[in-house]
Amino acid sequence: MSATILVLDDNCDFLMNIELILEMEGYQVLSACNGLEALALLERTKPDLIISDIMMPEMDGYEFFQRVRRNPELLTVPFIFLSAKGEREDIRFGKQLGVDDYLTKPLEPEDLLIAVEARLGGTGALQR
Amino acid sequence: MAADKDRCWTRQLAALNTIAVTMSQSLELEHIIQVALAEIMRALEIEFGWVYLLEGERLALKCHIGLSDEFVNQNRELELAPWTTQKTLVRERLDEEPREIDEQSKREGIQARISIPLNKENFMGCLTLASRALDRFGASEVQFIETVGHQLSLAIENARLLASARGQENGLTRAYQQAGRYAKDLRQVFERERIQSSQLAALNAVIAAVSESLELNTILREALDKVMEVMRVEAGMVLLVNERGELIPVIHRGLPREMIETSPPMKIGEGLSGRVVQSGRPMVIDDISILEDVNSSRKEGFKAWVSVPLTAKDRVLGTLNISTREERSFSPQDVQLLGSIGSQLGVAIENARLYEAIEEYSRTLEEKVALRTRDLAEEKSKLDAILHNIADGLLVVDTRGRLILANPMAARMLGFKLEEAIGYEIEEALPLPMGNFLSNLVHQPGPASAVTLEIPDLAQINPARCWKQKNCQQTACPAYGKTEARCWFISGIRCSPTDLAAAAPSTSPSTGSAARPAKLLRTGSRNKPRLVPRKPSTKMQDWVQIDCPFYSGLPRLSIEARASTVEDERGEVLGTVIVMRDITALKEMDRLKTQFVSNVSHELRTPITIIKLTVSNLLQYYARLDDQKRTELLETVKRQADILHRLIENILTLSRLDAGKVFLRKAEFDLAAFCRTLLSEFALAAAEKHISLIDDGLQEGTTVWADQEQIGQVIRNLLSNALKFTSAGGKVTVTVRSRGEDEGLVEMQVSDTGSGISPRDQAHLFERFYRGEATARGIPGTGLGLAIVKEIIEEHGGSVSVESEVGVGSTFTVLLPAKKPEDTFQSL
Repeated sequence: MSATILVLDDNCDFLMNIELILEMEGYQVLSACNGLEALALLERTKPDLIISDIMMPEMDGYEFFQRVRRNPELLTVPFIFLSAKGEREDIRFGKQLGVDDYLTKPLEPEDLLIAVEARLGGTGALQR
Repeated sequence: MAADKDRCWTRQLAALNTIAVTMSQSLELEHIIQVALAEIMRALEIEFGWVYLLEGERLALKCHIGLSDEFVNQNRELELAPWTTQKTLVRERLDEEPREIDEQSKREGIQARISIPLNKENFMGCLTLASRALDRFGASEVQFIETVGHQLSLAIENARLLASARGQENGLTRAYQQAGRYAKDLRQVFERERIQSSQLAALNAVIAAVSESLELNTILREALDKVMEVMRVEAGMVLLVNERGELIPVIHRGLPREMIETSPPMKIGEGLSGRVVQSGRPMVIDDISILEDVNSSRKEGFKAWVSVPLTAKDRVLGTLNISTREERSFSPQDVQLLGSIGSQLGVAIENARLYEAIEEYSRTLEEKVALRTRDLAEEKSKLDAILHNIADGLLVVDTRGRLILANPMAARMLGFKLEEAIGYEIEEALPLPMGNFLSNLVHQPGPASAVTLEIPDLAQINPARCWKQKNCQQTACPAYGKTEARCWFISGIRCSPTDLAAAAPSTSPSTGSAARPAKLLRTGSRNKPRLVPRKPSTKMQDWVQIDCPFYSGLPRLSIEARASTVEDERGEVLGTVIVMRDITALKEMDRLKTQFVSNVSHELRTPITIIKLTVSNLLQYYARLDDQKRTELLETVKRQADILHRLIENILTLSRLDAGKVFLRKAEFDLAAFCRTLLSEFALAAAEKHISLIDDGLQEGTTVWADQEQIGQVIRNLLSNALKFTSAGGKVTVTVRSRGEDEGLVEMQVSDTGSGISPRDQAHLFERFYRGEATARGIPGTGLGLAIVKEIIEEHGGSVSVESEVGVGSTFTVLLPAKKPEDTFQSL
């Protein structure tokens, strides 16, 4: 059974590409266009990794992260920010919140896969 | 004895006449005095005479006849002694009461002496006559001398009058008043002394009348009455030469009115008076009938006539005529007296004319002064109005650093009260540390220097909130722990620490250039140390800007203060003018532009990133992807390329609009059908966001007269906004309908059920770069779309407006002309 990754991004075209890469590399992908949709998915499934954008209307990535961490069941799920906010302060701020990794757009697929595998620690596609 | 007396009288009259003539011909005082002295001495057969005039506190010897050089040298100046200032002093026998001055006089051989004061309103000097003979000065001599004295006084006064008239216009008015007083004095003298000689009295009366008034008609009337009375004639007249050289009767007595009114103006050389004017000599006619050209008086029965010229400074101004019906032969004495009176009247006429001219001049001058005063007052009120109403704050500081002028705008900007600040040194007058900044500015040498102050906008801050925030734990705040202190940022110092740091001495010099407003103050070694504000720590600076919630929430005002030195025309420094301009809007514009650049690069990067990623995925996984997935990816590329294209179009349109290079290629097209096409472009994006696009309200066949490409950009911008701000499950509706034939307008509306726009944002919605709350909410965009919509629609002569409610949605309404206008010029 391959690892399940939840991806959240308000840009559907971008989301579709991430989904494609991860699927092609053998992961199960759950995708959501906004925070509420993602939270609804999390009620039914516990993924092995969460990747989220930050700048989104209605619920931004910071709020989504805090909502996720408030759920004890999801406390240990690795969380990665994938954002266009690439300034040093933004990255520092994100990491201070307690996320496991911070990726920036524009994104090289290679970087995404390395980060994902690092967090999944051998339970992912490479193991297979 | 009688013959002696007659001879004596004739001499005296001749002397007076000569003096009067001299006075009328010369304005040179010393000359007049010299002549008067010589004449009086000759008339009275006296050996010595001298005149002292008052110069400051001393009497100066102005003129003397018969005195030895020794006497003159010893008495060139006299102290002002009581005896010199009083009344007439007659000393018939000096040896009876010898005094020091008398010793000297006796050495000259003087036995009898008379001194009379030259008096008008004030003592002006004295006239002294002396003789080697005893008992020389009897009552008649004294009277004569006094008359001359009065004349001399008049001459002195006239000379001074002229001097003052040349300088000051009201001198004459004073002289006029003095002359009046003088005449009164004269009359009193005559009454007191009970003059024997009625002829001399007449002359004196004429002089008195002349001195009493400067009004020409009054003078002439009084003079004529006196002359007729003395001469015992029943008729008389005064004629004056006018500017056309004609003799005009001015005053007449005892002559029938018709005689005066019917006779034509007399020419010079014609008739009695004309001949007198021409010759300048008196004429005595015992029987007028000898003159063939004089008919009127013959008809009226006048027989004997005397006509004397009225002369002043060699010019004949007119004639004084007297006449009688009696058989009469006028004596040479009569003629001589009349001649004297004529000379006196000449002077009087000249004086009166001078007075009139000066009065006129004075009146004009007064009018000019009044006018100028009014101009100045107007100028000042204009300046005040300007100072009160200009949008810039203005401070004027003198060379000692004191605030001498400030306008209400300056007070409003910096938060001080005008009445509490004017007159104080600028550091004290203005709230700290503004006073320090501006004081530094004032002390800078050089033509212009500038500083930008960023201060809380006092107009928007409630003063009640200006007290120290309760429970504020910011230890770096200078107000921390001080119970009496107000919050440092607002009322204590009212300035941001950034500016404080900017004012610190370590900063580099800056010249005030408009392009880069100097935020830094120049501080030279010339500055007194106390002018330099303390430098706060950098740490505090960081803390304040980022962390202090109170401070960061304050509305700000950016003020550019610019100082320039005021110099007068000689280059002397008078002070410094500081002009303070509110550049908040410029700063905001600057900030928006910076924000725009960052937004645009983000907006450009996003589609490019996606295109790159998609293409790289296609290449990477091409073999493993089915056809459907490949198409999907290619469509993604196309969609993102469209977004990119739209964005670049927007930017280009904006710059074309700026450059005025938008040329509308207008044509009539079906707006409803066009909208339907564009809606299909957005169908996929809407479906992905689960937003329904509703096109029921598109009234087919509704045409507009517009540039289709530009209108396409408008509709795309409105649709993409509607989709962007509407969340899943929402609706976006587009309607197009005609507003009726009358109005000739087509209305298009794009409505959404999105987040809505706050009233504050609505006000600025169509401004370039303005994004309102969208920035804070993390919604991507450039702030260009609606600005372009508005500008394009307005280019078309249409309009765009918005109605919105937060949480309910927004409706954008566009109005466009339906048809090509009748006037073909407009459609070009």
